[in-house]
Amino acid sequence: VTQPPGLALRWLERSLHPDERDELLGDLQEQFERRVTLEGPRRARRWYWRQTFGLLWGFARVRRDLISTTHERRRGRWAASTVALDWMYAWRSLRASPSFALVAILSLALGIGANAAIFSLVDGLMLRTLPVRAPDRLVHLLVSKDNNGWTNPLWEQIRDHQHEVFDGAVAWSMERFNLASSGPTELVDGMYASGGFFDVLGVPAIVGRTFTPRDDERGGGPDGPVAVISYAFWQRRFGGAGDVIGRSIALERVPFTIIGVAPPLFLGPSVGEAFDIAVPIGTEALIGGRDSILDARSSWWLDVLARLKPGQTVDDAERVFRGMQPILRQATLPADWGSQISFYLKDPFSIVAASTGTSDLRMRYERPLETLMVVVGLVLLIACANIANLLLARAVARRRELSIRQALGASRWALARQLLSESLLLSGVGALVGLLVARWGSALLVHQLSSRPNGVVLDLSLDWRVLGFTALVAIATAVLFGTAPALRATRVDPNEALKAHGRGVSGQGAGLSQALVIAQVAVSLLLIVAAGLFVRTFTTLATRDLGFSPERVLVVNVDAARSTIAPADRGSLYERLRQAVAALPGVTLAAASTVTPVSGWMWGSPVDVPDGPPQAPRERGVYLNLVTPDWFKTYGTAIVAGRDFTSRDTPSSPMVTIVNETFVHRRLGHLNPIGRRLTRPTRPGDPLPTPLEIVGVVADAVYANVREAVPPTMYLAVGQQKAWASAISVSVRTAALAPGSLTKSVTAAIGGIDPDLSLTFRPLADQVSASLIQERMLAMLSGFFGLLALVLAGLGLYGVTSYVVNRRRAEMGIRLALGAQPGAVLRLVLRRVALLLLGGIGCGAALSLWASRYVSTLLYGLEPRDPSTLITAGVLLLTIGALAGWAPARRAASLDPARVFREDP
Amino acid sequence: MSRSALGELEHLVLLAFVRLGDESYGVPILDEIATRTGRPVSRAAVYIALRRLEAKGLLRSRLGEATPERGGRAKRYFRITRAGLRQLQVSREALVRMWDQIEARLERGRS
Repeated sequence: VTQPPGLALRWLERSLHPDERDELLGDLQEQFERRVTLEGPRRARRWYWRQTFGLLWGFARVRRDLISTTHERRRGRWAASTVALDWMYAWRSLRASPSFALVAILSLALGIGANAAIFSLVDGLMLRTLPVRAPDRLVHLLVSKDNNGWTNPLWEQIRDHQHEVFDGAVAWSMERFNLASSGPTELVDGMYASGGFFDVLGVPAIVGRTFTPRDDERGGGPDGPVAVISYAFWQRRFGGAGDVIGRSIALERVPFTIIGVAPPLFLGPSVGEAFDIAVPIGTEALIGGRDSILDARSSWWLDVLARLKPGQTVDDAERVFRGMQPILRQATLPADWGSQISFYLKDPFSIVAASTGTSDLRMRYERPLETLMVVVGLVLLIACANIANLLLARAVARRRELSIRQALGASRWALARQLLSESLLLSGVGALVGLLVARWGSALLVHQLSSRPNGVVLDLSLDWRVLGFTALVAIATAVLFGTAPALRATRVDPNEALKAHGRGVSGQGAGLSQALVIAQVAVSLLLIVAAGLFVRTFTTLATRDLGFSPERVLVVNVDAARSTIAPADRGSLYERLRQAVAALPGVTLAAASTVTPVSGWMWGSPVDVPDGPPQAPRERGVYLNLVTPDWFKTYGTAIVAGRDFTSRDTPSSPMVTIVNETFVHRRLGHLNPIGRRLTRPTRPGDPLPTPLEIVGVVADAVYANVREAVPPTMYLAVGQQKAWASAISVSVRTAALAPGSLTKSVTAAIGGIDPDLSLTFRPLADQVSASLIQERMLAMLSGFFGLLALVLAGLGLYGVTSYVVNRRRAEMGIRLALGAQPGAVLRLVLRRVALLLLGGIGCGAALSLWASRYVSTLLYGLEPRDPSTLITAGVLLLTIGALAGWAPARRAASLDPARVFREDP
Repeated sequence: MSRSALGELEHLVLLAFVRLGDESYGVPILDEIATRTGRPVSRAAVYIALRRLEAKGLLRSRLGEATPERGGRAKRYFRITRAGLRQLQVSREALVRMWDQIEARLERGRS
């Protein structure tokens, strides 16, 4: 049976007088049920709402004794009816001036919506607890103070001892798996998870089952290699098919059996990253094959979460855990750490609370999000100032209405409550629309944060925190913009106001408006300065000389892990690939390297210069890359001295290296670099280091990070190595084509040499721009909000000036009648505008200088107190302000005195 | 008994009671007025009229039994009083006298 809308019913129950309640609600119910059968439940419910409003409004207007007022209020209950009356009155009065309501609601919706959008990101990234059992008891185990990666041998030790310290522990690692059997990769977000992962976290499968510890045996448990898929992946790839359990899916060409589907809300413990497929850690033996890292004692790839025992604190657990450290460490000593082994033994384990999961994204976006939160808060303040000004102007226009009501006996409090109800209604509707804006805006933001290989997935569903925050913001804004006008409006002397509308000469009540405009201009300046700083940071970075030209270069990442070729033959395979790609039509050059710029990968090593200036140990590190001949030419990096690698650089020829200018500058000082010898320190027991001879110097080029200065970099020849990793990147420069258009022919060419290679394509320009996401987002958003602030400030100035001009029409008319030149009147008005603007800009400049230090870490290539940005922002505001003041000033100057006196005697 | 004349809605409500016979409650009254007059009638106004008519002694009411189809809520049954009937008569006579011989004129004025 369809019920009437619960909210309406409760409202009626609370509002109607108890003696009347039964009868009226019974009648309504009877008619409602009839309507449900006649018109369907939807229309019937709408009808019920209309009746509710009509009934309460009608009673409130005429017979307030029919609704519960006094006797319920005496019991301290909410005086529903009086409030309802205020609301309905507010609703009618806003409907009477729709353009005011529209402007106010729109600017509030934008302001509140922006706040809710940014807050829902903050909520999703930082505040939301993991959707698991008792998330408050989860802790993150750190291998040292700020290192979260564990080796598998260490994890196996923790796993075997977990119940001595914790109520269970889990390990996982986010990974990308290739679903394609050959050729272009089809990557999904994968996760290696320990056998107890789902059980310890308390995440049950919604279909099938989750892992057991036996599934986690190396190479697969009794059911072979098994996988749990996420709900989203189940829907996306299998259309939510009921018979998905037992199906086979190949990851990196290893067949896995799907045994379960995770619940929709569980995206994984790494916030911001979601998994599509989880497989037991033990199956890494199958996927990694020869290169498996299950026994590697210095591959730090696993994150570990543990569950505290009841009553156990983080400190207790940490103490016990550290007590176990010597056993764990001794059992897993890496063989090749040499003298650094004492670090390995001593570095203390740590534990931090992890109810909200762990996240790399969180660390990266914490500061920008905080900054944005402040920015949108300020935008909302400006919007509030605007609406307060509009309300002040409206209050003057409504003086007659208010004074009549006061004369008829309404108390000041009743009038103020009335006006505040209007403010609350405005901000309430604004907040509702704002929530829509927020849903749309935050989804857009997350989309902006995602670059193709690293999608960002956040749970942005509205939770009580976002809703509560929005409600709080709505109420706060209403109080902010509603209080002053309400108090001002109710401070009328009925006698005074009922006389023909009083006409002040100096525009009484304008003082508050002016203060509001000054504040508005000041905050706008702050926002424009911030926008300027962020936009310039982004453009500086985006147009920075990278040391290579990313246009028309396609990066082809080749993975030979699945190939049958012997590791010792990889060198020649890579060379054949390079030649095959270079011979393709439309390709100018092709070269291979182990690292490509701003790819997220880096390779570093200490290097000694035997006869160079002495170096502190920390200064010995350089970045390394392994490249083929023509790599510099492909990237457009100039060779400034010496030569490039050639095919004559082989394992049997003397070991050579090429270094960049920063390397020369930092490590060699004034020495001539060409012919200089370098050594790479070795670990005890290794054969004596082979010296490397510098044969060339190249221009500086960005290595890993566009934001950082170019590090000292050393390049080695691929052709001189004796062992190669299973992956390499072939960079292809095209003659004229867009780099993306080459993927087909490159796939065919490489597939012809070895069909078992998997390939991932990425234009270099994409790779570079993806690394600037944070800066782009800040620049875009702060630019948008800066613009919004500018528009709002302009509107505010326009409104106040128009209002003052209107109030002073008579005075202006008299001046003009007495012979004042229109130009003088124009100047008179504009001088006021200029004073307001300059006052605001002065305050804003001080504010900006003070606030600038908080954003210094987010800037690049300019000082936080950059004077030119400040001056530009000031000039921009002055221009907009002058434009906003010009129209009303013109109106004042072109007044016809005769008409003024006729209309307004 | 005619302390005050009947308002239009009060008039309609009383007539509805006469049409519906002996005893009636809110829903049939609302329906009767709406279908007869062919225009929507304000629920609040009808209830207010019922209260006022009762206060004037033209209607009398009693609380009925609770029935399940109304969500277990009781009905309030009204019955028109002798004074109510008399008041209707008075009002009707006044109206008829006022309408006397002007209908033809209204017709002409309309054309």
